[in-house]
Amino acid sequence: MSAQPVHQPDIDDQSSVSPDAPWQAVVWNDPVNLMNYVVYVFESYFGYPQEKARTLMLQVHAEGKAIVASGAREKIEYDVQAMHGYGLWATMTRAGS
Amino acid sequence: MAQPFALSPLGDNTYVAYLTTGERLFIVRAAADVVELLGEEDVPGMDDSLGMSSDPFAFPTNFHDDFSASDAGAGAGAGAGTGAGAGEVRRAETDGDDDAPTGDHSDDAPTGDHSADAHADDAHAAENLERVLAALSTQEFPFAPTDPAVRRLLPDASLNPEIAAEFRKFTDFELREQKVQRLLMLSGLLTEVDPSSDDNEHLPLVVRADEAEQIASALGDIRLVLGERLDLHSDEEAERLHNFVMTIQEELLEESEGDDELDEDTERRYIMGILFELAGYLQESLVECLLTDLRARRRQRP
Repeated sequence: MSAQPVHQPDIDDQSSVSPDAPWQAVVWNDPVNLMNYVVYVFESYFGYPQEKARTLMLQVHAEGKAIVASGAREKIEYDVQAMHGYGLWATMTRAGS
Repeated sequence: MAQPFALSPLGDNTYVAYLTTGERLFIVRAAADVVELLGEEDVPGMDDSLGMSSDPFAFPTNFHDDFSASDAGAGAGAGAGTGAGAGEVRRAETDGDDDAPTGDHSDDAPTGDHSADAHADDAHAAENLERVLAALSTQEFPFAPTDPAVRRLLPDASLNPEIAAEFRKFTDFELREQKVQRLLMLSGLLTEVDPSSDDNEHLPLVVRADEAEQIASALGDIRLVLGERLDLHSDEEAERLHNFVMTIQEELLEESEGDDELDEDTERRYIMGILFELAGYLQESLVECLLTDLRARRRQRP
């Protein structure tokens, strides 16, 4: 699973996004959730290795958000719900939109 | 001050922290307030049964008695050996004697959806859960919460309002239920030992490894609500709150009779701030335990 954004030409209008474009789960920074908790969530829920989990956490912290998962819409909905369960603010978005 | 979570030396897959009675009641009250927020305001019977104030986070003014001068040194060993409640620590003895822990720690039954049932003897919590869930299930379709604290617990899942509304329709109930259940689980664990009249006495808070994630998340939800009430919207503001709490704490410790020092707003902010810090302290140490065990399991089974 890639943490990199899928590169697409700039597209404003969601309807023109390719129907094949994957969905992405984005986790946003907040001042309340503890760093080690966010790392734990990424390691435990996504099964990411320690280093990747830490890198993603630092990206959220430094850049305000990070793409933590991508895939089919159903999977990403499930992931976003799980993040909300953990108390992280996550959104789902269409790659390239 | 509370002693952080650490792996129980008994090898029974539990994590143990030590808290004073005042600290316990403080967190129980906050958990009840968040449950109330999640159940909307008119959940029948909630006020009576949990002894909550009608105004969430309207803390009593005698909190200094609960929270002030108990220094860390009084903590660690004070757990199971003393006090009338010691024999009734249901789930684990923590002073290293040989009494086997009773009850559900020895079995590793996964908790799953029934995690709250693991403490079925806490009929009180179970009744409340039923009441809250009954009230929730009568709501036909969820609107985005207007209270920003609730909105923080149940945020929009998309920047696109249509997708966010659709998502809310299918997840709102489940998320509220999940959060309420584990907050009540936290309250149940915090009230397992009898309160002590000696507020320097730190009594064990025992969390099974398989329920620790839910407890950590419940502590996080309490912090999210407090963070919203405290207007913490940036890392800098969180840092400022930390400094504020430390400063007031030092002032209170320096002046042995510091009853009349704080004006109402300062006191309110201090109370919420110290609870925010306490919940974070417990959450962070519990998560360290979880991470250590998770990584150890992964090394064994790559």
